[in-house]
Amino acid sequence: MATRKRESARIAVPRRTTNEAFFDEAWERLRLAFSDILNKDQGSLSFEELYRNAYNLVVHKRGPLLYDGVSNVFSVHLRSLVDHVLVPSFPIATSANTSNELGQPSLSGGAAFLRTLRDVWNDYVTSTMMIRDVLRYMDKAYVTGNSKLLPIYNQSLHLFKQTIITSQPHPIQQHILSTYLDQVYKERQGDIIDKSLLKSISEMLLSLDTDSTGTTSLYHSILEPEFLTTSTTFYTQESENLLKSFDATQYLVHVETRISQEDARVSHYMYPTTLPKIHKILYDELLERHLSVIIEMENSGLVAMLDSNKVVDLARMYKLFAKTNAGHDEMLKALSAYIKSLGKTINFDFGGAARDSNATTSSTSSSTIMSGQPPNPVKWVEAMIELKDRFDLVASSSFDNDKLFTRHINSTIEVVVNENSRSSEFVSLFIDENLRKGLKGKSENEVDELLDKTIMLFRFIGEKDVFERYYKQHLAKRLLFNRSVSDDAERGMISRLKVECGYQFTHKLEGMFNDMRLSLETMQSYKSLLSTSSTVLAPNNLPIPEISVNILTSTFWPMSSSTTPQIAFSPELTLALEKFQKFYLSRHSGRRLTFLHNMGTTDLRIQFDTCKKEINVSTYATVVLLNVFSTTTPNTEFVEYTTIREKTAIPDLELKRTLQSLSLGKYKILLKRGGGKDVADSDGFCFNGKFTASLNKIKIPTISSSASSSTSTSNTIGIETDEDRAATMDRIDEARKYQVEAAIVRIMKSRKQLEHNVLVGEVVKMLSSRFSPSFGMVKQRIEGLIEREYLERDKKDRKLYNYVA
Amino acid sequence: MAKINALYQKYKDEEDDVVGIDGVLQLCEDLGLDPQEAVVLVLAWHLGAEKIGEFTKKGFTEGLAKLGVDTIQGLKNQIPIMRSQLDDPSTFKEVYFFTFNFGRVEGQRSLSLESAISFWGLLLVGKFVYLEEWIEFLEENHKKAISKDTWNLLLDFAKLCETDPKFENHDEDSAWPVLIDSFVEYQKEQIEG
Repeated sequence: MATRKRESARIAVPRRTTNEAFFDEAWERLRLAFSDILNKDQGSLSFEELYRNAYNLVVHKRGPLLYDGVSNVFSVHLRSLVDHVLVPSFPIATSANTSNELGQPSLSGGAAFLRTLRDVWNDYVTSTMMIRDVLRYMDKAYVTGNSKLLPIYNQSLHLFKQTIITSQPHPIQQHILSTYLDQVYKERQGDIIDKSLLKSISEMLLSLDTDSTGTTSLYHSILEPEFLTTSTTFYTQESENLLKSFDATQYLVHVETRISQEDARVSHYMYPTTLPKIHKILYDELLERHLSVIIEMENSGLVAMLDSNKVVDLARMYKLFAKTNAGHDEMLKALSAYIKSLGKTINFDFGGAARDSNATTSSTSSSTIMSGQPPNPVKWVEAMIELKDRFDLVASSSFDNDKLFTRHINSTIEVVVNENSRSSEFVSLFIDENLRKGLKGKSENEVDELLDKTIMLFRFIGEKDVFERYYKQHLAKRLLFNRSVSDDAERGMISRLKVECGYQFTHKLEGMFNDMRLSLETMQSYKSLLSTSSTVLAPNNLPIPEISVNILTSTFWPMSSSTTPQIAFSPELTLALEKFQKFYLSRHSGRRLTFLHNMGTTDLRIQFDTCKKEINVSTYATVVLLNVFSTTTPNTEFVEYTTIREKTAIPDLELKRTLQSLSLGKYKILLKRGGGKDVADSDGFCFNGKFTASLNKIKIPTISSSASSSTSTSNTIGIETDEDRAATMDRIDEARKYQVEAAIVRIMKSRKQLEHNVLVGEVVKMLSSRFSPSFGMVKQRIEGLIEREYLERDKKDRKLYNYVA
Repeated sequence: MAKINALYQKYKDEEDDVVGIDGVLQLCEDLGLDPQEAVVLVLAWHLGAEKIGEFTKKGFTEGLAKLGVDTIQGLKNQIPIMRSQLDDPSTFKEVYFFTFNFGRVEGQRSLSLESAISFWGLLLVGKFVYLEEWIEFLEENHKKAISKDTWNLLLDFAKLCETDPKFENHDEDSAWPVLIDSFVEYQKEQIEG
C-alpha cells in the first residue's frame, strides 16, 4: 500500500477580522430582528441565522455589546408600550363625586385597562421567550460567569417591572391595583366579572420579582397586602350594616356564603397563600368582633335557638364560632346562663324554692319575693332528667359532642340540681314512687331506662350521704309494708348504686333484703313447728293468735330499737309474742329481740250491730280496741282518754294518733266526743256499733305524724316535715364529723407529716364521693384531734402536723 | 442541800409534804412580791410548780438548787433576773407555755376562760397589741375554755399582729386555730366599722 502524503483538507474558515464594523453589523441585524419579534412582525432572518450571529458576537468577546443592546431594545419597546398603549387605556373616574362604599372613585373601563395590560404582557412574554432561545449561547457562555447579570429572560422581566409596573411618571401600578380591587368589589356585590382576566393579572404579578433578591413576587408585595386591607375595610363595614337588619341565623348564613365565595375567589384567580389570610379577616371582622351581639340577639340569638330547638342553626353557629378565639367561650357562657335559668324555674315550680325578684321570665313588675309552689319531688326529678336529656341531645346534634360543651352542660346542671337543698330527698322519693307504683306495667327495657336515667341524676347530687339515709328509710317502708312493685327493679337499683358508689354504700341495703328473705324462712319453720304442736290456750281462754314476724338486723335498718315502751298487751297477745321469742332465741343464741310495736298491724274480726268486718289496724289500735272496747256486753259508753291511756299504757303521742286514726278517718270505728282534730285529755271515745261499709275487708291506716296536727299543710308524697328534716340533718352532721375525723387520721397515719393545706385537700378529696366538707369544718376537726392528741403541730413550723402514734 | 431542806421545812404545809397555799403566800411576802405579779409565774416555773398555790418538795428543792441559792436573801436577789426573763423572748416563751399547764384545774384538758384571761392580763400586756380586744371578743363570743393549741399559738399570733395589724396578710386557710381566725374576722369588722 502506498502511503500518500496527507493533504489536510482545510475547512474554509472565514478570516478573522478585527473589523469593528463587522460586529456592529451583526448586532444591527439582531436588533432589527428583535424589534420585529417584539412587534410581532415576521422578520426576514431565520432562527439559525440569528442564533449564529449572536453566537459569533459572544465568541468574539462582544457579550456586553450584545447584552446591553438587547436590554436597550427591550427598554425602548417597553417605553413605547407605556406611552402608546397603556396610558391611553387608563380607566377614567366617572365623576369626582361618586365613589363606591370604600371611598374609591367608581371606575369605568377598568376591565378594559386590565385586558390591555394582559395582552401586552402575553405578547411580551412570547416575544422575549423567543429572543431568549436565540440568545441561549449568550446566557450559557457570557451571563453564567457574571454574577452581576441576569439571564436574558429574567432581565426582560425585570425591565418589564421597572419600566411598566413601577413606571415613574405614570401611575400604572396604582391603576392596576385599583382596577383589580374594583373588580373584586363588584364581584362581592354580586356582579359577574371576568375571572380569567384577573387570573392572568395575578399570574403576571407572580412572575415578576419585587427586587433583585428574587425572594418575593409583586403579587405578594403589592397585590396581596392591598387586597387584604381593602377586604378588611369591606367586611368591617358590611358586618356593621348587616347586623342592623339581619337576624342571627340570616347573618350566620351570610357569613357562610361569604366564606365559600372567598374560597372560590382565591382558587379561581388568586394564589393559595392568600386563603388563610382572607379567612382570618372574615373570622375576625364578621365573627370575632360581634360574638356577643350575635349570641345575645333578641328572638334569634343562642337562647332563642335553644328555645325553639333549631338544631341546624345551632350547629352552624358552633361550626363558625369554632374558627374564632372566643366564640365557644361566649357560647358556653350564654348556654350556662340559659340552663341555670331553666333550672331555677324547675326549682321554683317543683322544688319549693322561692322566686326572687330578678326572675328572667316575663314577670309582672312586682318586687316582693313570692313564696314557692308546694314541692313535688316526682315532677322535680322528671323535669331535671328531661333537662339533662334535652341538652345531651343538643350537644350531640349541634355541638358534635364537643367535650368542652358536654362538660360545661354537666357542671351547670350539677349546680342547678344542688341548688335545691332537698335534692337528695327528692331523688330518693322519686325512686320510691316508681318502685311502689310507677314502674307497674312497664316493660323490662322501660324499667332499665328509667333506672339508668335516675342514676344519671344521682351522679349530680353532692350530698350522697344524705341520699343514703333517705333511701334506707324509704326502702325500709317499702320492704316492711310490702309495697314494692317489682323485686327485680329494686335489685336493679341497688346494683346500679353499687357500681356508682361501691360496696360500702349498698352493703346495708342488701342486708335489709336479706333480712326479709330470712324472716320468711324463719316464719315458715315456725309455722310448721306450730302446726305439729298442740294448741294451747291463753290464761283467759282465748286462742293464741297467729303471728308473723319480720326480724331486722338492727345495724342495717334505719330504726332505732331504743325507745320501745312496755305496752299492756292482753294475755293471748303476750303469749303469742313470748312463744315466738322463745322459738327464735332457741335457734339463735346470743341475740336480743326488741319488738317494734309501733310498726306492727293486726287483722281483727269485729262484730258491729249489723255486720261483721275484717279490719286491719295498727298494733296500738288493736290494744286500744281489745283492752277498752272489746266486751261481751253492748258497748255504748264513752270512755275518757285518760282511762284509755291507763288501760293500754301507750305513750301520749302515739295514743292520740291511734285514736285519731280510729275516729277521724274514712272508716270510723270509734266515735269521738270533743270537737276538732286534736285529742284533748277530756275527750271521750265510744265504739261505733252502727258502723257499716261496702267492703268486707278494710284497712285503717295510721295517720302520719305530719298530718295529725291540725296546723300542717297537705303532704301527699311523704316529704319530710321541716322538724323531721332538721333532725335528719343533725344526725347527718354528727356522722359527717366522725367521717372527717376518720379521714384525717387515716391520711395522717400513712403520711406521718403533712402541711395544713395539703391535709385539708386530701381530706376533701377522700370524702368527695359522699359529701363536700367545708375547709372550716375540716379545720375544726383537726383542732379537735389535736386536743385529743391524735395529731400535734410541728414545733418548728406551725403549718405542719405530725401524726402521734 | 441542807440549807435548802431547811428552807423547805420553813414553808411546808403542816399536814402534806408540799409547800401549800399558806407557804406560797408567806414566801411571796418574804420575797417582797405581790402574789398576783407576773414574776411569780417565773418563780413558779423555776420551782417546777404543777398547779397554783403549791410547790412540790422535789420541785422546790431542785429548783432552788438549780438557781444556786439556799437562802431567802439569795432567792430575793434572783428576783430582778427573773423579771428580766419576762422580756427575753426564749425564756418568756417557756414561761408562757408553762402557765397553761400551771393554771389548769386538775383533770381538765383546757384552761378555764376566766383563768386564761387573768393570766393573759399578766403576761401579754405590752406584748400583744390587741389584748383588750381579744379578751372582749372571747367574753362576748366564745365563753368556753381555751384549748392548749389556741393558748400556745396566741403567742405567734401576737407577734404577727405587730407586723400586720390590719391582717392584710392573714390567710384563712392556713393553720391558725379556728378561734383566732374568728377573732381576725371580728377585729377586721371593728376596724372597718
